[in-house]
Amino acid sequence: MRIEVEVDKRLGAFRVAARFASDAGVTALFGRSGSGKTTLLNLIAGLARPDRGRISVDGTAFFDSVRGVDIPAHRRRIGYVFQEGRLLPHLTVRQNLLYGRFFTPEAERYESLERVLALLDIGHLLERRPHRLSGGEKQRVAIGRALLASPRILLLDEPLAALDSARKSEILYYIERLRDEVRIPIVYVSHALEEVVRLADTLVLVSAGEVTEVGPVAELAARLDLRPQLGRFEGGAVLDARVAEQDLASGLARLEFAGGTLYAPDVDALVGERLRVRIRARDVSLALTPPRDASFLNVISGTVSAIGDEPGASVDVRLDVAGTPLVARITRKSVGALGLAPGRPVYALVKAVAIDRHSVGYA
Amino acid sequence: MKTHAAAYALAAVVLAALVLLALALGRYPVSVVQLATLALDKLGGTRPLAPMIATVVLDIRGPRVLSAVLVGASLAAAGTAFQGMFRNPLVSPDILGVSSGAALGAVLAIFLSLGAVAVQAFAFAGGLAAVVLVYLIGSRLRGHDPLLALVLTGVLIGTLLGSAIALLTYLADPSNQLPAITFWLLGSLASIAPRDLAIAAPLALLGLVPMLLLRWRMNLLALPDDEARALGVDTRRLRAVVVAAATLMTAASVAIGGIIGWVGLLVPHAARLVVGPDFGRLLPLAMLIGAAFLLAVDTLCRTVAPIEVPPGVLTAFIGTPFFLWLFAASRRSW
Repeated sequence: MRIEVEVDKRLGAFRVAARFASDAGVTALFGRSGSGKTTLLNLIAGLARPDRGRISVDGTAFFDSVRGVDIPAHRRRIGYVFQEGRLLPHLTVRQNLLYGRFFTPEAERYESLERVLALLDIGHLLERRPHRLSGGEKQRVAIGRALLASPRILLLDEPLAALDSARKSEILYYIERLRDEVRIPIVYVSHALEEVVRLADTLVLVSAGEVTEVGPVAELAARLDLRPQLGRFEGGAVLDARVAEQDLASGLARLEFAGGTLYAPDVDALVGERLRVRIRARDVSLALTPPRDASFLNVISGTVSAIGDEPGASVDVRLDVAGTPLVARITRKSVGALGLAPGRPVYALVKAVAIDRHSVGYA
Repeated sequence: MKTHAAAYALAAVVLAALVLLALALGRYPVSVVQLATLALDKLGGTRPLAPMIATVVLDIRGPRVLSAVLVGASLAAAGTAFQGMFRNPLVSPDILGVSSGAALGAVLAIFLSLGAVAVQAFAFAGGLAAVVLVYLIGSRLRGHDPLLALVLTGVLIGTLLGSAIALLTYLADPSNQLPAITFWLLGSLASIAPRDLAIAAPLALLGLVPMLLLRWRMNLLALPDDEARALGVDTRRLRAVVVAAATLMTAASVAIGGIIGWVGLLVPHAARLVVGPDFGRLLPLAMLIGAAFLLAVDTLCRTVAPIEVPPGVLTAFIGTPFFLWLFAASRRSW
């Protein structure tokens, strides 16, 4: 499942010079709009040709300027999902799906229609025409079509960008399922941290055509120096947790993670399921002593490990909670008032309500 | 779908009826009974027939009917293929210059006072050469949408060839050559000999075969280039094959029949209004309608007035109301 990319391409005034390797299931290319991540994806797909470099997927060289290898896009056996699921309007969903495997020789087909229908829950849409599908359903069919080609690698270019918030969650769920069921590398391009944090194993940060960081999501998410790139508003630590209990009366789930216990409302998971939880830094408050008579359900004990140094009224504070990092964003004034410094024991206060469905994903 | 089967059946029946009608009508009327008798006679019967009927039907009208069917079906097929490939409903088979090239070839042959066979050969070669030129230039223009590059190059080369035709027309001998040039440019199925058909038909068929074999892939050309390539379509090669196939069919038609417009542009639309844009369904119906339409027009051309009317004059007269009616009566659109 290894992807190796090292490419150089000039597009007018814009230059893409990227280098990364990933062994993971889902590799996310994350960056702002215009950062070059879609160009990078197109280079992997073969829809654009690098000026020089090397691209290899699972040991197969797609492009190698030194050895003169350049497999054309239509022969790379890629599955590409675009932002807008462009299906053939005059054909049914079934016919659209079958076009996916039309070009794959029988011997190389590992994917079956039944499995794709089950994975994406589109069995009931088979005889419909695209104009009678919702945006989310269209994208699921587009993903299904890409999968049915039995591709070597799945490439998704901001597949949720054209959907509204409710549809986004719906598709995210299916892509999570994909990640767990499908045995090929997946490269996911997005500028939305929420998606990336839920789906990706490896994060590749792209900025101005260059790869600035590569690493596991949980590790990069908690790094203070990367907070500007990841986005301060949505950013925060990513934890692995397990559902220990579901209390039907209160609607709260009790989640256990390495550093302690978290309560979260309306978590749609069964007891024992593993989840990936993102705690937004802006939802974390700090206290020297556990508060009394306060509404915070999540009071986690930890130690200050680092304090950010960016200018402004707010600052990031990184905590170590029994080995797991957590990030809190508070005012510089409070840092001074509480006398926070590395090594200082402190309590992180997280509103249960802040751990909403946008923050919880299946591991 | 049931309605589609009905459409094909109807078109086929109409075509068959028109063939019978075309064989029967003319200055020397032949009844259907006589046609049937002739058919039986030819198939091994022993009843002799007035040789006049055999001559009229088999040597005069027969080839003409076959030409109309061939040319109508070929132009419709080429138009369908191009409209699918260029994703544009305003495209006709002439878009890449095949008609201009064929016209230049024919006019040149007439100008050089070469025989009828040479005129057809030059027309065919001219049509192919023009498209080869357009394709070579158009596909070398990187940095632009490949389809746009092709279309613009086609239009430019077409107008260039048009000026060459104008020049030759101007220089032509007004008493001998000019009438021949004008007549050729107006198009006519009148003087097509069986020998001409024997050459044109296989060429047109040669163009048809790849279109039939690639009919599933043709649908994928409706997707943007990137998406088609991601799905596994070699779009460059597919486009080249479609251009070659459609050009072969059109050049063969123009070489024997001259310039006949309208059919290649509007018959595909008519067929699409009935069966939708799925190429596999669209192509056969478009060919049936094209054949029937041109046959109807050509029959009128030779029966409506004492002298022959060029088909180019009547195609629009008859086609336009028919198409408007069809368009108004249907709900779907491209």
